[in-house]
Amino acid sequence: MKRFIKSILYFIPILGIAVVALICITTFIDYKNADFSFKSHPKYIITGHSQPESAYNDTIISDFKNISFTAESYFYNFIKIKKVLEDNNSIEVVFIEFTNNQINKEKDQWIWGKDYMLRGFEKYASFMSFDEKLMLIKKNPVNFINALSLSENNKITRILSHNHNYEKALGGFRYLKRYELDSLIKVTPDVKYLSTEEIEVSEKNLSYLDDMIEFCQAKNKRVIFVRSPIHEKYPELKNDEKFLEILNTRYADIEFLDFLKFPLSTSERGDFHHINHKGAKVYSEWFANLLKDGLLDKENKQEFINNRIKRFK
Amino acid sequence: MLFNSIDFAIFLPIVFALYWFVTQKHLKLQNLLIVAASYLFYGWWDWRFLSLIAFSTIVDYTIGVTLSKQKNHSKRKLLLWISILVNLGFLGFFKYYNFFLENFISAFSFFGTEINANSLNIILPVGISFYTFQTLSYTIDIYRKKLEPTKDIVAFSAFVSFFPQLVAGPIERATNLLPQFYKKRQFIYANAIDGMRQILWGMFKKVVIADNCARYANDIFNHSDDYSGSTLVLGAIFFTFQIYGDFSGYSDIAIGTSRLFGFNLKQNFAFPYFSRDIAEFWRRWHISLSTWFRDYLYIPLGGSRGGTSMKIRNIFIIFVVSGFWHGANWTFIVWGALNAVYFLPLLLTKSNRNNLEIVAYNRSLPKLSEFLSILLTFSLTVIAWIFFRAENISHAFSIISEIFSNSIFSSLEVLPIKIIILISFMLIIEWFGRKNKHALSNALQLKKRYMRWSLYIFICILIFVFKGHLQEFIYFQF
Repeated sequence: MKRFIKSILYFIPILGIAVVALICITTFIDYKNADFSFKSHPKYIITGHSQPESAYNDTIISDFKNISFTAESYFYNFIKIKKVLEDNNSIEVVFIEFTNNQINKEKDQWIWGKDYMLRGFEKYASFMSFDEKLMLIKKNPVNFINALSLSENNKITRILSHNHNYEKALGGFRYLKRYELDSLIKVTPDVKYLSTEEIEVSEKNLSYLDDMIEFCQAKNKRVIFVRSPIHEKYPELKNDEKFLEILNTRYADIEFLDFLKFPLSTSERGDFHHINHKGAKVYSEWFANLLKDGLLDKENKQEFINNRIKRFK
Repeated sequence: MLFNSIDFAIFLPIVFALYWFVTQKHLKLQNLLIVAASYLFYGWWDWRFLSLIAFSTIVDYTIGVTLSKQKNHSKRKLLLWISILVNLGFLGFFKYYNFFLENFISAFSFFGTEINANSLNIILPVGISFYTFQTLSYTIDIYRKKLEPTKDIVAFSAFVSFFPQLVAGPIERATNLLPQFYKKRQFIYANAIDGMRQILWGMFKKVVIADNCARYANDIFNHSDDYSGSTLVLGAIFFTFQIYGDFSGYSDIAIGTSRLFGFNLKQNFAFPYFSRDIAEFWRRWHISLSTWFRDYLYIPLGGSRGGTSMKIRNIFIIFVVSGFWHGANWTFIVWGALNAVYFLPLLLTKSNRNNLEIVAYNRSLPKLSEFLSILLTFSLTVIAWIFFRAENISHAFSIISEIFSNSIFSSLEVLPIKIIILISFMLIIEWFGRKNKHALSNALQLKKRYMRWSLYIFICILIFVFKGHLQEFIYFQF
């Protein structure tokens, strides 16, 4: 028995060292060769979750790149933006989706929750700092091992196939076919707005938004928040008071473009908060014209947007 | 509790430590620990069905003791039938009730009589087909006077519920496993180390091969209309390796784990995909079930004795019943019947025992004729697995008709090179280890310790890096 235990006790550390060595080597190679550059050399990029992902059709908007990804928190947005800005000098403006559902406490789960971590870590493991990894281990240790294994699989595949370009993996416009709003409206009551005290805020997620802003500004990139169109019956609008409070205090210095009330028919929406491909075409064409007409140089941007919305109606 | 879960990784060392360091001096206590651990292992999945195992244990224990005392032949027969009815009754209710009900309704409606009967929402208790057969063999062997009944209820409970093989076999005979609970187990270093190797190889087959193949096999089978014949063949091949990796992987982990506790279970898979004919395949695939059916069904039916029609009947019965054992679906029955069709020519030409030894026993490579035989047998098996995996018979036929159409020559819609390389690695290791009880036994005869350890570390890394998405073992549903 002693011999058996001795063998096991020798074997486990050796295996541990071998695995750590593998992780270090593959991370080093992946980090060194990673290519986040975009062939289109965009001036504008937008990042965020599924709302901007399905709203901004970047084949319609010139000099624009949509790198949003479904259920991606600000934590993974931040890691992605760091590499994207390093490899794309053409970028001048970073649009960040800042909307009601992203301030909710549950959005912290988008950082370390099971599937969210697997997806995010799988892609960005090589570009995370030690502290960021440590935070994930502490929050969800069991799932971290799975995520680690999945990311190794990805890294080794990239290394063996000599494919280090991340452009396709980052996200992009999603051609949403869904059309469910009619049926949803029938069963959903009007939004019951809550007071600011009743809302628990996702501090962790927002702290990475702060980091993202700081990083972009340090790189002399203009940061602009956008709120993409949402239907008035979207239940998550209940926190609007808190949302505006955070916007006007914590992010008072950040430019904010509110497209919440952009008019879309029910057939142009996937559901309350996602625009489908038809709506994305309408909205993206309209948004492209706004940019062309100098939206970003206007003194009062929101007034300009509101006037354009009125005219569009 | 799944073998490939964190829960089991915590459970196993704790039970191991209690077994060898706390209860070692008291055999009864050690057996009691096995029972408790086994019930915990099983209850982790669904504690409600523990009562089934407990009831089955008590019934067969009591019948066993009573049988041994009973001299009257008809009363002995009655006791045997009680055991058979109780065990098969549970199995029939949980596994086949809805199947028979639905088929009766269909049959009556075919003749114009509509029957209103609702199928029940029955959850199939994991492993019921396995432990039912295990306990049945106990009473049958006592009835046949091949086995003395145990008077030790703890040992018998441990035999019925022994956690490594409780939910997916191997189906152990009482004659082999039960006596091992009577005597003090010795910790033997070589056995334990070889057990660890077997667990490692089982994990590789399950986590890397089966779970990765499952992803593609599921996608191709679930969307078979979207794929050409060539891709469907690939899907069927992936399923062929999925089911092998899954089930033989489970058996390896079960046998390896048992060895850590000083038990020896029978080999359940002996490199079946290297078989040169279907008869050899069935001597190497799910050996514990095949031999169970041979001893308790085929031989009592007359076996290969009697006239040709008798032989054909017996072969069909054993294969169809074996198919039906796997599940309440016509696909399994057709799968069984198809294997009978493959097997019959060999039996009738008396060539079913031509290939008893593993292929190329004294050589490193097979002859061309052997290689072609392996390829042919493998192809026949792949076709049979299509029925096993398909949703229903028409689904299976639609896949097969697409395979035998011109679209077989179209280019593949999916080609996961990584998985093909991993399957090749498995086949290479299995080829070199084919003379042993499991592929990593004797660690491929590597003499230097550092070389053996390098191989183990390499396999561990493959498991870590290339593990597929966690899937339940396929055989849990049987």
